[in-house]
Amino acid sequence: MKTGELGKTFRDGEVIIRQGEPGDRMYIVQAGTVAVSAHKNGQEFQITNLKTGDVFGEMALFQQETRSATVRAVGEARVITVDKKGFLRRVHEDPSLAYRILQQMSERLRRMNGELSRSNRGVFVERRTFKERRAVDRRQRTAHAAASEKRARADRRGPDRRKNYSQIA
Amino acid sequence: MAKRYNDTIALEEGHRVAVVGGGPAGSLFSYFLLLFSNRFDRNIHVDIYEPRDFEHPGPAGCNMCGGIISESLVQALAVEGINLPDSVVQRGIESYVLHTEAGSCCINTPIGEKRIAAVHRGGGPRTGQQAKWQSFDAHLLKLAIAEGAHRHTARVSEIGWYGDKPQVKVKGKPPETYELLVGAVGMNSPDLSLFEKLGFEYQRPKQTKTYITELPLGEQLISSQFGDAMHLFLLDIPRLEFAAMIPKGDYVTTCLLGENIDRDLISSFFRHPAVRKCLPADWEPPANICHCSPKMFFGNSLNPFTDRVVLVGDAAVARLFKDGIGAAYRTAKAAARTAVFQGVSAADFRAHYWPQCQSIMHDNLFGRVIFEVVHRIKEMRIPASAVLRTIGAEEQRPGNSRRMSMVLWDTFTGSAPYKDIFMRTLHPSFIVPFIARNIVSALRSNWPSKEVSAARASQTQSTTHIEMGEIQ
Repeated sequence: MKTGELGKTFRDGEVIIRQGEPGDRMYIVQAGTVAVSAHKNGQEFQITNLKTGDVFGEMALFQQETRSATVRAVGEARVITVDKKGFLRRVHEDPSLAYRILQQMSERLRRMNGELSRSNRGVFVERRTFKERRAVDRRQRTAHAAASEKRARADRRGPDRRKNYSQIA
Repeated sequence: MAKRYNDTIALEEGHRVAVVGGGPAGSLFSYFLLLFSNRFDRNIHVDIYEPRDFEHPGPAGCNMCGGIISESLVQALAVEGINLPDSVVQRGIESYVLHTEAGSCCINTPIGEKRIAAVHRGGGPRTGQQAKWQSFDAHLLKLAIAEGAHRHTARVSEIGWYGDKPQVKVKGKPPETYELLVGAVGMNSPDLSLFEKLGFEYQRPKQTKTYITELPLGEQLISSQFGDAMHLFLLDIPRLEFAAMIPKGDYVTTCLLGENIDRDLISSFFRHPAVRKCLPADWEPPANICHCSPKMFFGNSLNPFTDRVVLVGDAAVARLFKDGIGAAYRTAKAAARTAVFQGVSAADFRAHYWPQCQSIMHDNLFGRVIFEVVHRIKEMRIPASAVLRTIGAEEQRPGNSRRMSMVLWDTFTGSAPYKDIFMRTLHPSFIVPFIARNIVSALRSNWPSKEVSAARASQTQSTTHIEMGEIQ
């Protein structure tokens, strides 16, 4: 770490905040990249990567809940922490201080909405294909059943007719 | 012409704003004014009048300041999206060493992170050959210019009125009329008297003199001798309130605060054993050492605003002894917020800007009490020794429960409001151990010398940073 670098430097893969732990501060990336991921049902999902100037851990400042995601350094990353108490006091005095955080939260929400609608569109397309396939199958099954029914009916009728003819004869 | 809604004069599309002074207060005011007005798609023209070249070494580009950016300001700027790169920050401070007559101790940052920045406001001392780092003031000025401000290098020769609007005159050019005039001139600028002559009953703040010198120790020596620690001296030298040595790149900035700081006081400070211990054994200050005696904020100003005129930064209010740049940020932003969202009349500034100044003034009252107590403690060996013992005992504890360390850290780094610090000192968990250690120190000072020696020996063996000479 150079003498003039502010904040704290994390090595590649080092955990900055861990999901489920209590949090009383937020972080601003000063240099490098950090990866945000979350665990659900024993599986780890990659959420996003954050770069210089991005904020994370801000939810802990507004809610008394545990960290909702794990953040790790990707390569060497330097972050600066912002204390909850000092920040909230400043925001109370000057609400415009929260503007940039709101901007970033709104940006994240928009990105998530985009991803959600993309994944919903995928589900919709999948459903439509399934329905179409099912309809085709049904049609094919119906046609097949009708044909076999016809054949069966013909088969059933054949010996009767012959019998009838012979009987007639 | 700007519209008047009862007592409000609104800044509107195409209006012009003059900012006299391009230091942190002027640059940050311009930056925030343009940022807020751009959010509303309102085009406002901002002219910054700053004749100094902050990149120039020596007095021509210097704003005469210790050059410490407090923890709270570093955090606030980071939240605002204003990063301080290592090309501007010469050293990140992660601890400070407190020197008293009773000994020394080291207090580390509460979360093990560098959040205090040591910078040079200008292009560095006059003895500097090549600027390795950028000037902090130039960095902020560039930020304002990037946001859309226009910089004028001409010196303002006159300020007056044209009807109800302020007018700015520079030599050899016709006067320019503006919808708003902002004074960001600082305590040491001759331009402050131009605002006093405007006739709106403005009274400059009370001031005291300080002494700042740049010790050319070189990067290697500074790293080995000082590291990333700021040294603070609470010594029993007559007329000296306190002193600080701030390690930077190639220089250590030394600031002395007190009454009538003269040659005798300066030389008795540099001769003091605690100071000599910080410097190389055979080191003597060179003859052409860069030094200055700037004025510093000491008491409140009166009426720093009228219709279409507002003063920000030191000229309005600053924090007592500490965090002058932090106060410049707060006042500049409050004035910009008022101008864009409320208006530029005296009534607008009184309702929305003045409360911010008053909150700093009110906080300074607590600051005065704290510094008075510190002043008393440094004169008495027993309480000073008790302070060091308490810090030593707290060393292994987590950040929040290190009460004495945090009180001192916040007091001398300017990281928290004085009121907050004062309230923390009233907590029983702070008072009770401190009183107990005072009693122990008083008793030990009366014990026979054999026991004192034993205590000293055990003290040295302990893991704390308390040094010899604490108990006598």
